Amino acid sequence: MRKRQMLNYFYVAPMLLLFAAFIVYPIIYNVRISFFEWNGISKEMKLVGFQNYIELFQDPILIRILINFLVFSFSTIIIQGILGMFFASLMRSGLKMSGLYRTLIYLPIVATPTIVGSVFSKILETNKGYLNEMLRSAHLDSLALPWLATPALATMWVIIVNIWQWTGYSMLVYYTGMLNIPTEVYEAADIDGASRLQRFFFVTFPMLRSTHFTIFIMGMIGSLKTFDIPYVLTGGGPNHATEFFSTYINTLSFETFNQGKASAVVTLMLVIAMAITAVQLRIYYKQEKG
Amino acid sequence: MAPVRVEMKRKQKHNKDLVIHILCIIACLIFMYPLIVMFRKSLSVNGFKNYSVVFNSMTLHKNFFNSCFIVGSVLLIVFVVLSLSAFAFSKLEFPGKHILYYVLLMGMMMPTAALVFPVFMTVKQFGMLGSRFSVVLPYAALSTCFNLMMLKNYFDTLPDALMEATYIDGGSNFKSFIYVMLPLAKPGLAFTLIQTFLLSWNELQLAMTFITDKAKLPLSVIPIYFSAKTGSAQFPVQVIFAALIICLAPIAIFYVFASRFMVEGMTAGAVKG
Amino acid sequence: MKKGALLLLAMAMCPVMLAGCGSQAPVEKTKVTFQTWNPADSGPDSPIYKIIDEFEKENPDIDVEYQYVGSSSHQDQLRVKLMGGEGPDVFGISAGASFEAFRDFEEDLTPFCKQTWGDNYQDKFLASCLANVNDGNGNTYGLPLGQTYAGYLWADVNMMKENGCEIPTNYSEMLETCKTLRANGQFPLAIGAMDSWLNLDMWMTIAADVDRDALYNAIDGKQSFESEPIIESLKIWQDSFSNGVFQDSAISMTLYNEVNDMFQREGSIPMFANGSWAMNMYTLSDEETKANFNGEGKDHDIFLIDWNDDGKVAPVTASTDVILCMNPESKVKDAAFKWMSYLVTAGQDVLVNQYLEYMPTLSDMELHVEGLSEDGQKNLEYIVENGKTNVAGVRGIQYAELSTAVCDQLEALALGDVTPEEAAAKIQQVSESVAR
Repeated sequence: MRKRQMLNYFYVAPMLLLFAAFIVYPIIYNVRISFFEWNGISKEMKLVGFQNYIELFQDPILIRILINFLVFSFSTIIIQGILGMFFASLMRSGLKMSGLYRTLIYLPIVATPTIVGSVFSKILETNKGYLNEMLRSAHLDSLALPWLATPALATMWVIIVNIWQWTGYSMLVYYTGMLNIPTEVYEAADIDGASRLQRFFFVTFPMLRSTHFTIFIMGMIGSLKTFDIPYVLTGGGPNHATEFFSTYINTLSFETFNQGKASAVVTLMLVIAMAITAVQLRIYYKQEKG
Repeated sequence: MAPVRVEMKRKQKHNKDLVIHILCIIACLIFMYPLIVMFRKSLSVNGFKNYSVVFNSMTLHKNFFNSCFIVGSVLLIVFVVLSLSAFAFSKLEFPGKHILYYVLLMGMMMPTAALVFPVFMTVKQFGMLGSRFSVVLPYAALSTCFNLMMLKNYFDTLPDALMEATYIDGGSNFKSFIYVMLPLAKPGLAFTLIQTFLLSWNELQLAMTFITDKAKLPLSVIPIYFSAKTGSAQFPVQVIFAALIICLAPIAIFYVFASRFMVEGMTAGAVKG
Repeated sequence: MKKGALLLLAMAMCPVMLAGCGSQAPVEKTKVTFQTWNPADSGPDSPIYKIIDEFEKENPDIDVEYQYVGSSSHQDQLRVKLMGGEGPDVFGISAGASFEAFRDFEEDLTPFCKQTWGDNYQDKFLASCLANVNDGNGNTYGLPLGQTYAGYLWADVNMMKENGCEIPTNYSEMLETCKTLRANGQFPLAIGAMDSWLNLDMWMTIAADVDRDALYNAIDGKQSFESEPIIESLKIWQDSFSNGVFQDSAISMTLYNEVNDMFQREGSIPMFANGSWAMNMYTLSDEETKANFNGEGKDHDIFLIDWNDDGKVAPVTASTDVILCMNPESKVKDAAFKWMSYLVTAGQDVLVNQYLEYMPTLSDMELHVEGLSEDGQKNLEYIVENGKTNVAGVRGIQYAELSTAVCDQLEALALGDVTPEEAAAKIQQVSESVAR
């Protein structure tokens, strides 16, 4: 049996090789840099111990980033999850034209940052943007707000645009998960006279347990890494209101030439991601055994 | 049950479906609106001439070929590597499995900005700088890490009993992987391959750094030739949008194709729990 | 089972092996690699290709391999390649903080310059450009390609007239003009204040208008930012966001391509803030720009105003647009310098006199832009005149941390989050920690 188990390593060996070649070194490299004072380019590096971390924890922007991360992750995960599940269950119920709907809802995912940036700035611009023009023509002038120029509204729009782009992803994950639920289970439920809603809450939802986990962890990690949307939509502004880990890393390395601190942010991000994942996996395995 | 009531129920169901359809159409319109804005912009001022500007100023067919080559290789590698490891982490036992899985997940937590330089050094060590291959393995590594959890969790939902059935028939782990598990995992696999396609088709940061020869670059970097952000904006916005749409069309086509595969997996998936 | 797994493993790894046996083409000419974001590649007709062709004709033994990288990722890529020992022989970099940061990868060009142009090579360039490329000891680390002036405003004269407005000359007139424009449903003075570099450009010109020395002494650390003139300039900046001079939500708009497109292509706004480099609006060949700038009766003005109403018009700030640097690890330094010196002289002549990409950095270069309209010529003369008599100093702040701090405070002021006094205090706090 032992030998048999050892043979199982062959299945994961190729992935371990790829991981060792391309992921391990960047992790070590970043952690190492975070202990140096370095502008990211010069040949001189000064070892400063935990100085970068001390600076980071005293940085008022970090608090902003953490709040943004929490607000962003929970609102996007929950809303994307609900919408994704809703559309996926419609698709799964054999609705006519569901293939077309599925394609259209998924399409925003292909939009690259340049598209998101230029299209949404046209839509959301305060003075002549499409959204405000629409509101004004509907005589809702008081609702035509400076969408991207107010910190709270800008954060809201970063979240909305993220939901716009990534609901298709949640939908597909849930959809593939639902494909795995045997039709017999539904038939059994139908015989018991369950309504559509009952069927969803008592059959589908619990059976998607592992999908919920996937969505949650992917959502958390995606939120930690989120970059493109705030970068093109608000540039992390106004006045750092929509600053996230990745946008701040970008500012630190390319605008202030503070690579050491940027690497400290990367390390912090990694630690947070690992902590979240560890907790999630523990719950996942516990339930699996239980 | 009286026939009238059946008729009523059918009508109710019909109405319900109509409501759902309307809901779906509204949702689709909302999701599509920004893309429609983009498409309309790409046609503004000069109509389809904007597209011909893009075709005339770049040798797109070469870049298109490069993208196909890069993405094709990545898909092949990811398919093999990912399905093997996701299967192993879900269905097989070996010492240190949980720890190893956890460590591998770190691969999807690294922000791309932090990867560029170290990966560059690795690729240089392999002597691959400048070739189309330089980006293939990094993309493959990132995609497998990114999709590992997704596919592993998918395998988790397939009943273990199926494995035992193969053992009884005298088959090995590998046989049950190839003949039982892989076909059943089709939808999950299709999904991860769609994501892989998307990631490697759109990636440009690594590609631009590793490949200097314009003729070897993938299609994804083309739009940046049209959108100079600082200084002079040589090309009008509509041409940039046309370039973007040209680059994005293949993804949309691939997606439609791959999602067929997914549905096929569903009908073939005779999961008898 | 083992066999199968191994087979798959081998399959997965075959690209690695394939990649190992890449082909090597024989090299006869000296190859000089050149990476920059500017001059840009905008298709086969780009000016840079004409310059390279011309150079290769004159130097048949040299082959210039040009790589264009968009400005957003040029610096990051360059950094990676240089550190990885794979940097280009010649590269472009922007003046100020970036040029300083890349110093370890910039060859001291003094001996090359002396060899090519003689001991008095410094006379060849404008003094303000040399300030950008020299270190404290007068050694030259880069060749300046293109001079730009920041702090200007632009107006569509016809549109102003239609709204019953004249080009304002001072801040109170500007305020009145913006009120009229707003009343007519038009944009007031438009600014892409999401771009922090533009904010810095505009504020520096305001501050230099209030008190030139107070500004530059503060930047050099010789004086505090908490001085009356600096606070006044910050106040003018802040007020412009609330009193209607700048458009609503200016803070969420970018210059490229948002505000710039409205002025350059749509012709839908009467005024906007942009530097001298926007002169290329007269030479760009896309139809919208052409119609808007070179069409019948079109009239645009580049102008400066008196921001603090003291009767003296604001000065501009100047900097080199692109600094050409040589990689110290280059194996073909002589050929590389030949290319650099060509690009900065004959090449610059093409870029300036045919495309008006920037103003010249060479003291003896004559301006005779081909096919420039009368309206364009008038604006060009205005820029040249101000370039001679009305430059406050260097554009931008070379200390990255200080520059970021100023930009942050300008944004905070725009939102009304801080008072000018608080902003000055915060900037001063950072300024004291900067190593100069």
